[in-house]
Amino acid sequence: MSTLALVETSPAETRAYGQEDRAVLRIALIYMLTGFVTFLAMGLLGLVMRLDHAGWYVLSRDWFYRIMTIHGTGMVAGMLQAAMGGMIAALSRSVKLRVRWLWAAYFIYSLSLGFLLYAVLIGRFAGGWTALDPLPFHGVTWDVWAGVMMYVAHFCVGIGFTIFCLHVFLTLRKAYGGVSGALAWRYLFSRGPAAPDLRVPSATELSAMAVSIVGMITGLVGTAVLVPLFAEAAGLISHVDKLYSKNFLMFFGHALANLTIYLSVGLVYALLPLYTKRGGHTSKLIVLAWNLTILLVITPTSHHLYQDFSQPLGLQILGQVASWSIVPEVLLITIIGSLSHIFRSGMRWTVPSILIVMGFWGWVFGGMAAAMDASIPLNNMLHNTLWVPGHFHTYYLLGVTTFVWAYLFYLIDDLGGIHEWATSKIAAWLYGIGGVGFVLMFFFSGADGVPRRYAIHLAGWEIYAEIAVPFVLLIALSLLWLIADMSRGLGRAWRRISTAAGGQTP
Amino acid sequence: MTAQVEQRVATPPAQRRGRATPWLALAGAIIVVLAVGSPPIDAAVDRSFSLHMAQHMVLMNVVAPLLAIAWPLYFGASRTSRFEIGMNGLARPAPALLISTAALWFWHIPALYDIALDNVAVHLVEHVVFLGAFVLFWRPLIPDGFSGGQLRSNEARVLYLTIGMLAAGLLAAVITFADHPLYPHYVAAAGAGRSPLADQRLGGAIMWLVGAVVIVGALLVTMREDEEPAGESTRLDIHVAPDGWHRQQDDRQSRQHDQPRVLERPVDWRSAQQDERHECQDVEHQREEPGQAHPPDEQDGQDRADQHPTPGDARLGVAGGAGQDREIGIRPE
Repeated sequence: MSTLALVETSPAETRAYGQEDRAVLRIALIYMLTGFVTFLAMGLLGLVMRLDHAGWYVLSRDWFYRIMTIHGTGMVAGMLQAAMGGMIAALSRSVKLRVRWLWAAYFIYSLSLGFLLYAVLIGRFAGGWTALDPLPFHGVTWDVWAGVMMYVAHFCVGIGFTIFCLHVFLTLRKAYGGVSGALAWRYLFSRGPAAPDLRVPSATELSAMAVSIVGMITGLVGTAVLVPLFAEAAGLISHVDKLYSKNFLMFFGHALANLTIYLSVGLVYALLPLYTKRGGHTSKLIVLAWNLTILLVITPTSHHLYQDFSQPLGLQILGQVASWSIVPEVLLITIIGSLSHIFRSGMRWTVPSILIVMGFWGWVFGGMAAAMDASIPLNNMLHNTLWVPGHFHTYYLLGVTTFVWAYLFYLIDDLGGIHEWATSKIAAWLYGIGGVGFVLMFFFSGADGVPRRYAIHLAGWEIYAEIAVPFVLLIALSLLWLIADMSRGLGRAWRRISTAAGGQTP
Repeated sequence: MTAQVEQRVATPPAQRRGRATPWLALAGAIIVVLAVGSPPIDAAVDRSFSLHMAQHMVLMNVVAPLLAIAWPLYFGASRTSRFEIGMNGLARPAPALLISTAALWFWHIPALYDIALDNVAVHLVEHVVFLGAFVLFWRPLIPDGFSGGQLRSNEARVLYLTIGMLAAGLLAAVITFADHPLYPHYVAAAGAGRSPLADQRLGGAIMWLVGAVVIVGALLVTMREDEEPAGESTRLDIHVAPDGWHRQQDDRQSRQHDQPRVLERPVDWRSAQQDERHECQDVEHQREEPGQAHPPDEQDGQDRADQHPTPGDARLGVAGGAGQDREIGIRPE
């Protein structure tokens, strides 16, 4: 028999999407859908590059590098945007986010796409992330303004993301009565279980808090390097130290890419309890892990600079030590913790749950490849090969995207209802198979010494791309199937969150 | 006390400020126009493309919005005049966007641009057209209710500003990335100490970057929060029982309407297990009427209802409500 009983707030739990969430949910969906469309477009460009590597569709060198610039920058920015959207939706169930700031962040962030496309398509910029002299301001095919516009695109990403992080940070700080509350320090440093009156943030909120702190630092770092570069381009200062600019730009890019992963992992914490029916729980280990994440996202950046002889030795060592320090945190706490959450839970296999489990696979193997590449002796062999794209494609295609698409699928399902066919699950598995085949070809190429960032491949290297292309087509096919599934529910979901109450109806 | 003074005393200060705003905006616009059109600046503009672009930026992004705020002074007094109806029709988003973009591109065609530079009257017409077109552009963003075409949702504002910015940005990109001087007048003038090409690129960049900054500012100013009760806390009051039953409505809503708190099994409700519900039906509770329990939009799909139990099926009412600060949930024991 059940009775009414007084219960304390369970911090790891959240409520349903309510009436007052509608405006926030609309913008969350817009973030996620913008990211999804960007992902599809960038994926198409990726296919074009692999077709070129296979020798089946020959691009000019100029166009190859321009496409590579759009693909790389656009994919990172698009996935980050989608992850931000997911986090907005997840947080909207526990804290009140402000629509004005979310829209401002979205708009400024999205400006970057315009600057990027114009800089590359009209300005012929093809320099990617490279910051070393004479790039990016003095390319062969582009002039200084194309470089400036490209960096303005980066700047917009940084500013938009910083606004998002600042808003999340302030909201969580206020909700939990300070930074220490939002990072659960009182709980972490207390003995035994949490005191009844102590509110402990959920794992999703903790991840959002950790990401927001690093995100604000990243925004500051981006500003610290981009503004001097603008001043250099304008002739206001003679030059910016090249190692300074490279270090800071690498920090900026590396942190943004990593934060995408951690945001998407925060979504997993929000989703898993729904499918395992075990309820969320914020353990001290989880609190410790997310607090450490703040430090461990920042410190390994210097592993990008092993090849720079002028880099201080201490930073090189820090890069390796910090890179390996992440492994136990990620593997032991997040992944094994999540898998044990799933173990014997009787979890139903649906598209989101399949994608989540697949995401763990991608995260583990992408991380292992990254850790290997972050080891100095191996880095000497692998750094400029296709091994590196192998590791970050594994991270992204099989880690971040699966987590984020799992949340998108769940969100649309929750709001509008998606009828899941048996073939939908097959499509989800096909996505994984396509992804594995695709990234394995990168790893094999890298192990074989195929260089990265090369437009023209030797005949002997083409076999890897030839094998990879059908796997990309498999990914495309599975995505089309999942899009067809989602699109049916999307209309209903949108109508549901667009009607009167809570909406913007001046 | 005269009638005017009585009326003034009776009018709240905020309303008085609202009435003064168009006049202040008009005065501001006149002052800025006089400043950027003054002889020294006009002379400098004649020699430098980048300065000319800066002047255009001020006209389009400072003067035009001010004139758009002052719109009710000249088009809002009467709604019966055909001219006013026509002007208010032009100030709707689609025509405004089309006209402003067309005007911008049209006057940057090199031949026309050079004619304008060589002929004072044509130059004046160019500036008037720019001003008129961009007053129309800004008009849908001014929420004063004087014309019917105002953008009402945040999504619409973002879309509108994005399209406007992309259209202007494309022109700016074409100018910035041109590999030769586009405007012969400036080749002859060779002003501002830079080569004509460098000056042109700087002008394009000014147009691009300043335009983007202004649009971002406009977005921040025009975004609207959803209406919500004053004094609400940042954290939603979430009270969850360990068995996963959640409250659908937060405290402030319950308190406002003095209604019993409503619990719902919100997540993954389609798989709500029958036995769980049966167990909870034994709880002392008041079940909501089906009509009250379902928001209208949740009843839209019969097919959905056929496939899954609806949220209302799993919804339970619990005693509590006004003034009760304790957190209450249902826990099967």
